[in-house]
Amino acid sequence: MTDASTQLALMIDLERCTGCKSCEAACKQTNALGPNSYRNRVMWFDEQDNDNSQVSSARLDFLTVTCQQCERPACLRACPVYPKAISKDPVTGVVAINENRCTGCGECALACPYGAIGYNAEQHHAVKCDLCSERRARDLGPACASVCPTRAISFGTRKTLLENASNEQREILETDHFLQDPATIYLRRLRDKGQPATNTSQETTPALMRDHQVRRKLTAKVARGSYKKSEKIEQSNEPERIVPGGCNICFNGCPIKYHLRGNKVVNIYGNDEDPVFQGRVCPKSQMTLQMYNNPHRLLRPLKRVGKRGSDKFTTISWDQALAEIAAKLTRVRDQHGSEALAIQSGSRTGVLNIIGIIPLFAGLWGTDNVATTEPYCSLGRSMALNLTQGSGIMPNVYTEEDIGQAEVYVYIGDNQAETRPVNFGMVNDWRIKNQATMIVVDPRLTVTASKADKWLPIRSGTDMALGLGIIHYLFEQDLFDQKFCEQWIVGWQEWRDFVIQKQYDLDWAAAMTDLQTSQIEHLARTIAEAEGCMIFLSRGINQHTNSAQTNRVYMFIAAMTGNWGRHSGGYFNVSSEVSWVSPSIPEQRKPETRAAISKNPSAWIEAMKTGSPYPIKALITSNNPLMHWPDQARVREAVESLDLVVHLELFKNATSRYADYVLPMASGIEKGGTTRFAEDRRIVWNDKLIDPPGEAKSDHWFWIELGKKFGFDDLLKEDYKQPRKLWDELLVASTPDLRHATTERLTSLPNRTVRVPWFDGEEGEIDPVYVTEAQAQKPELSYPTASGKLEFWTGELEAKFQALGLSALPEFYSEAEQLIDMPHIDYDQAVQVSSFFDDDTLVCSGKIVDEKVIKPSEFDTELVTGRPPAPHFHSWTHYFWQAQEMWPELYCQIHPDKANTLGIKDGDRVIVKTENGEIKARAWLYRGIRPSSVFIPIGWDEQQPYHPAASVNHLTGTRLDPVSQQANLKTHLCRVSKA
Amino acid sequence: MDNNNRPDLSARSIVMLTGSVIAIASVIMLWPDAPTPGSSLAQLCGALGALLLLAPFAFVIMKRSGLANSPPAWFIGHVLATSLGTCLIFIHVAAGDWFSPPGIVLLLLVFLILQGSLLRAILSRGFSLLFARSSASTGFSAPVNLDKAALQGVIDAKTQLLGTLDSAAEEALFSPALKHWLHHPWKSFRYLALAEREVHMIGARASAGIELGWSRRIHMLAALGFYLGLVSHIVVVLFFAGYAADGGSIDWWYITDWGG
Repeated sequence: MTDASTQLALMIDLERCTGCKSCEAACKQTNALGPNSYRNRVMWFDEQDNDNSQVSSARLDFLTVTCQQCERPACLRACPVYPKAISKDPVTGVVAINENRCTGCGECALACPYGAIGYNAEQHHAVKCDLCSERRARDLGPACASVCPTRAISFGTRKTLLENASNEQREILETDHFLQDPATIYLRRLRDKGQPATNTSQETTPALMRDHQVRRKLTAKVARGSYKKSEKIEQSNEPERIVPGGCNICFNGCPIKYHLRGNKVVNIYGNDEDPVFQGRVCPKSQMTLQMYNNPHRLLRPLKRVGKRGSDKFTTISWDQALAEIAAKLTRVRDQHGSEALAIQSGSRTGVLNIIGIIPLFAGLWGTDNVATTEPYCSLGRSMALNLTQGSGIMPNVYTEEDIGQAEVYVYIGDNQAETRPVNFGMVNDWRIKNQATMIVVDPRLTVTASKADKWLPIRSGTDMALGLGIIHYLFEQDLFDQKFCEQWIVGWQEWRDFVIQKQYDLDWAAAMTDLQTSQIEHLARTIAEAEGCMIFLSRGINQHTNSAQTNRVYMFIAAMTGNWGRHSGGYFNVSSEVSWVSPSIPEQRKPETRAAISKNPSAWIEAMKTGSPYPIKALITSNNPLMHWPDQARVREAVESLDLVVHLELFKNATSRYADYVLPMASGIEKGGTTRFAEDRRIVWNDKLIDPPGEAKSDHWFWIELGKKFGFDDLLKEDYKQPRKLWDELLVASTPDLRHATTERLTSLPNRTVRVPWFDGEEGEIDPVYVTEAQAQKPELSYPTASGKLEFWTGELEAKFQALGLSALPEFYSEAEQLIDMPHIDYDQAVQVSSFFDDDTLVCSGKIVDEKVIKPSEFDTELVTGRPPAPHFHSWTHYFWQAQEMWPELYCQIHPDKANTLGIKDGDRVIVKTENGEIKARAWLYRGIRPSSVFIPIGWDEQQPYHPAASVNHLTGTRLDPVSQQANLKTHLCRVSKA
Repeated sequence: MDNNNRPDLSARSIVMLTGSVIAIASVIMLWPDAPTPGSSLAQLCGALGALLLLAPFAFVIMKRSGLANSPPAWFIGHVLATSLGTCLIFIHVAAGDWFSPPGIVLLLLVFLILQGSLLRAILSRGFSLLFARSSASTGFSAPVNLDKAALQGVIDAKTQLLGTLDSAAEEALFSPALKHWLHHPWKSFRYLALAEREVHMIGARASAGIELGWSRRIHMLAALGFYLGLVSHIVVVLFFAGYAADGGSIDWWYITDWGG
């Protein structure tokens, strides 16, 4: 019997685990495991059958399967070799495999009742968790525990872990059903405390997780570098150096550490020297290893030789590519004007380009048709914040003293657990430690909702009604912070009078949202009575035609309850942005240009197809518009009609096939630069650490070289090819908020991270962003609006809204496509210059109408879209074999009751059709979704190497928010049938 | 990462090897003037083949005795020796009668080669897919119905028996090795029976399915049958040559012609 004080174990907290699979990613990169070889695996469990008809009673749970390090290990006894290939350390109790003695008979895998012995079918030997013996030898704990974004996995002596569990009064899951005396500890869900296992429902893993057949393309051949033992051993001949930096895959910019050997990245882990994240990191960051060493990367410039979509290309030199592109651009400009060039960039492109180089090029060239992915993500949020407080920055950050002190966390249309797993892990940790309340409003029982005290399954697109109902109730019940309103809010009385006059009461809100009045009342009271409430919104709010107004409504709820400009309470909508200022261009160098066609590329489609209001004939784009722009059928027609399409990317994707030139790009530490802006006001710096593959170049290299063809090199300087110079001399110089975030400072810090606007945090110093709270000590502090206060209604605001046919007062409207008739926007045909953007931008105005919409009766289901589970992010994770192993297929979540009526079983193929198109997906019967809704995630396209599928944006349309130009991607009506 | 030098035969190598054996055997079987099994050449091939076919037995002994430094190397040895041995055996039997008692032994040999190749090259992938198959065994979402008292009884019986079988061993980590079988065959057998009862009660093997759960055991059982047949054949042709000739001429080297 191993001594408990020396026995090592993992403790896995089922309350904290969000099923993100970061532990799987860490395990495989650490232990050189390829596809199908597991030492741990996270299984999802949901209910298929439940007599309880209440949708809100659905469950979603996660279980990390790993070796139990049993005292009586069945695997060891089953091993027929003598001395055995499996041994148990008498001091630590760790059960380990000596692969050199293993004959690969599989008896251990057959014997383990927990299914926790893995097998390498290519090299014919068993694999199992030995708590990362090699890392332990270097005084590091198991990789899974070190990266876990939620701290669900902890490592230590079993005795200490049990004491910790006891101190937290946690109940330990009984797992010793087979008298093996397992050492691994599982902590039960809090809500199951004291309940026998029989009281939890029968849960099962979804068919698409169980089905191994679909993963058949994932053979050992796809594993390279650190995932292949022979290559890993070869790499180990080079000395290791560890360089801090930031993850560049999403906008969260998690601080990470790159482990390099020679010119290769061999491991990517979280940065344990970062005081905020402390080494937590999501699976995506780790799997960028598979981006740096990926057989699908583009290596040389390609020129199309077949017709568009034919995928026929020939390799050309960069010189030829740049010369031909420049010549064609010149022709386009001569024939159609400089605005006929549209430029789209995205998260991969990087801040250096999005904020610095591209606006500089576009300004010199003479086009305002420049967009990022923001109009699809968060332009409504940015617009609303700027209207309300005069800047896009949000004060609240992920520290114990701030967000960690909130009493209530409300998530509305924000699935933070799957989109920003590390941030959610911290919030969830604080929830558990501080016994805070968490409420999630979402049409689905998302992973975020699965941890909440309450889940409110709202009708998609009606969050504004919920907000208005809450506001009405708070005023009616006198539950608002009048002192705050009077001190800090301009126009709150007008809002109050309007909401009361419109009778946006609980009954009305319940009818619109399909929630119960008691649920809304409870939510309103919970927010109002909390000493610190964080209201998190995200794409579920933003991706609607009422995006800006709904954001304003929730800003008002936060403010009227005193949750603004202070610690532990606030409005949040990812992500917090400094007031970026693009580099200035001398007036004489700026060509006169026509107004931009919207801020949303979806409005370019008409210009591409018909030339109205003026033609767009050339597109230089990053990312994957032929996956992520809505209404794909029209998008493809539009792109086919262009004279020039240049695609800058890492991989060939759906967009590449329609391009004239496909140019190989570098990313992350292949080019250097900052990551996207982090959720808590932080910028993380990456130096260029490795060479890009083949002839791939950085985006800024491309723009500078293209600029030379047009004589822009005096401003688009050669020097800017060096990312440090580009950041310091162009971006930091032009954006005051960044003034202390120089590369000198960034690179002097162990986490390469600074928080902006700059604040030292020294004793006695005030973080000026907490305006409300800090004003007592620093009376001159105010919000950067005309009034210095938060502005909810002013005459100026009213004029802006009225110019587009709307009112600054928040009148409810939703989408035209709803199962019940609701007020919606009726667009004017003519375009006009928007009253909301700094530069001239053409938009369609509209008015709110409450007329019955004639809808085809076949479309009887609400289609909701959104991000897939944590391992995926848009297109590029679909080129990472491990993300594909985790979540391979495009799926459609559908409620079992609805599925039954359609004869659909879990795992069946289904056809989903809207007015815009149809796609196929795999059915995931899931009780945690409104019975009237289905959910399909974004990110798949038909050209991906492993599990191609048509993008969900074949189903979506292009209705835009008149105010922010944000597109409705969330709510459409559809029909589902068995394929 | 301790298996840098671990020898292995890839699935592709196994398939190619097996394919080669099949091809060679087919060519031999089509040999029009194949020598009779008793001819000098055929008998020599038979003898050499039989010797090579003892490699699997050696593999079993070596991996269970502690004498093998690299059991995987012995595994490869047993595959290669069997392949070569089988080719020689086919020369031995090329002109023989398949529908005779030795023919059954040959069929067992063919079965062993095909089933073994299938198990290693293809079915073994199934072991990978067993991972997390039993996640419900933690009982986190539904109770695990198992008679713990009965299971404890089996463990207690094992512990008691182990005291007489190997007093230095711990039940938690023990299974009978070759030395136990040699010194205490009956106790080892009883211990194995108890261990099998425990496995049966736990149900892990059964949940893996018949194909995966029993393939190796079928392979071993067939191998045992093959060796019994092989030994019988050798004994009969060497000592009961008269019986084997069944009234015909004895054209092979033998020791006695009992049974004639």
